[in-house]
Amino acid sequence: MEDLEIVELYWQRNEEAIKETSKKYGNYCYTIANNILYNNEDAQECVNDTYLGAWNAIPPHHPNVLSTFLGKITRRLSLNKWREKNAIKRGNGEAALSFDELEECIPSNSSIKEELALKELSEAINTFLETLKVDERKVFVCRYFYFESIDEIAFRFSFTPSKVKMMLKRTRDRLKDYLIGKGVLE
Amino acid sequence: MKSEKIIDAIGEIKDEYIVEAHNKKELKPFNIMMLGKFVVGALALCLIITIVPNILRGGNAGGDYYNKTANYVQESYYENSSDTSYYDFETKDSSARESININKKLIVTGDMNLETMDLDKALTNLNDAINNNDAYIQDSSINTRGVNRIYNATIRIPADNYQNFIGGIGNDGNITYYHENTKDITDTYSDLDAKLTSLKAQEEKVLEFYKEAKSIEDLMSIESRLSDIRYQIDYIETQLKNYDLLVAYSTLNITITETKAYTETSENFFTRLGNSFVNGWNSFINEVGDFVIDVVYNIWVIIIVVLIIFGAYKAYKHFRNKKK
Repeated sequence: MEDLEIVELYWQRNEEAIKETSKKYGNYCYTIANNILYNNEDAQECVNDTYLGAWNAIPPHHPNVLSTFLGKITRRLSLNKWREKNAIKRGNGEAALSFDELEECIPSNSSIKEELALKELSEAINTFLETLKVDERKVFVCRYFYFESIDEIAFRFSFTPSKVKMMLKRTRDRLKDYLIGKGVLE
Repeated sequence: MKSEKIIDAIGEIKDEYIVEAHNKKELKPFNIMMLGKFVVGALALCLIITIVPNILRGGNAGGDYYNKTANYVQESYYENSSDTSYYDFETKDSSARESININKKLIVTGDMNLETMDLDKALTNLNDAINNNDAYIQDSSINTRGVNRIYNATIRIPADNYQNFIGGIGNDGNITYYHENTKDITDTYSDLDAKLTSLKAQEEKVLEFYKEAKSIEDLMSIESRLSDIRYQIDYIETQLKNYDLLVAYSTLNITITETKAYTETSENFFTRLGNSFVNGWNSFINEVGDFVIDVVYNIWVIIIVVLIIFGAYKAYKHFRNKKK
């Protein structure tokens, strides 16, 4: 079924929408959740919550790209769950590694301005991503949006793992300079 | 954590970047490195799978191999030649042998390598030569593995007809190697024959004692001695029969190789160099052909093994990632 038809089902409040979403994007959402949580049950729970989130958001929302819309919900829910679970002890998995890696983008004596809205920061990152080469951008998004492992990314793009690591390191360094230059950090 | 805000912000990036990163068109089932590793692995596997059976089976794997042994001919020869105590070697056809005494016991063995452009025709001619010269094939095999077929045979030819036979088959192709060995067993044969005569005389004497024996002990003792003598007579007679066969029928080990061009016999260095290059290339092509045939022969084993290795590799990666 086409994405537009699925969205139409949501708008009609037809429960078939959930079924079709699960059929078409179940694996996609599960992969994102599992990349973050590294736990089958938790990942499955997040995927189910994603369907619920989509059900509540559409209407009034009308997503242009259903896959990324669902992916963003899954990612947000999974990160929330991951934070809950890791409030006591340090977690493991790609999410933890990604957090550690992105810490490099913020110098030790500074932090992101408190008053800066998520939307503004997101727009800054979008502008930064625009300046990257296509391959660099894809690798960055795979790592920090989808939380894929270095090996998975290397496999996906036919790169060696060391090349992926090097690309990510350079991109992070540039992001750091970009954020400092934009006055995002305080 | 300082980076949390960035992580959350990345969650809100443009849809086009998210779609672009997971564009399925970009997905490649094997990356080049992995493919390279698999190709090398598969080739190594092919080599192991094709070479090991060859070694275990004595180098005849992968090709059609036909073998037959004509033992019955040897048996019938014994029946026909049992009355012959001596074979007189005649040397009418060979000037080389004219100087040899006619009562000499000589075993002639030859080795010949022959090239031919038409193996079927050469084999037909060989069979005609065998029939015409009352020869027989003791052992033969044809190896159809590779581009060129190779025929091997051990042919027994009546000693009289040996030179005729060699001359006849030499016309069917190009002889690249010929070696003839003549072993003189006259002394050995004479010794054995003298011993046999002596044993037979002893046998007659012991039989006379047997007739005159009066006590059971004497009879037992004579019978034991008689049995011993008869055993020795049988043994020597068998040896003499074997020698008779070897002397009466010369042996030729022949290898006929099917080829596209005859090997040049010129001594010119550059011709030899050229031939060496061409022969090397032909040999390489043959080997490659053999290798491909062996790989195809073992293709299912290779596919199964590669799938198992690939599955094990994927499972290992999966569990390792999960462990992380």
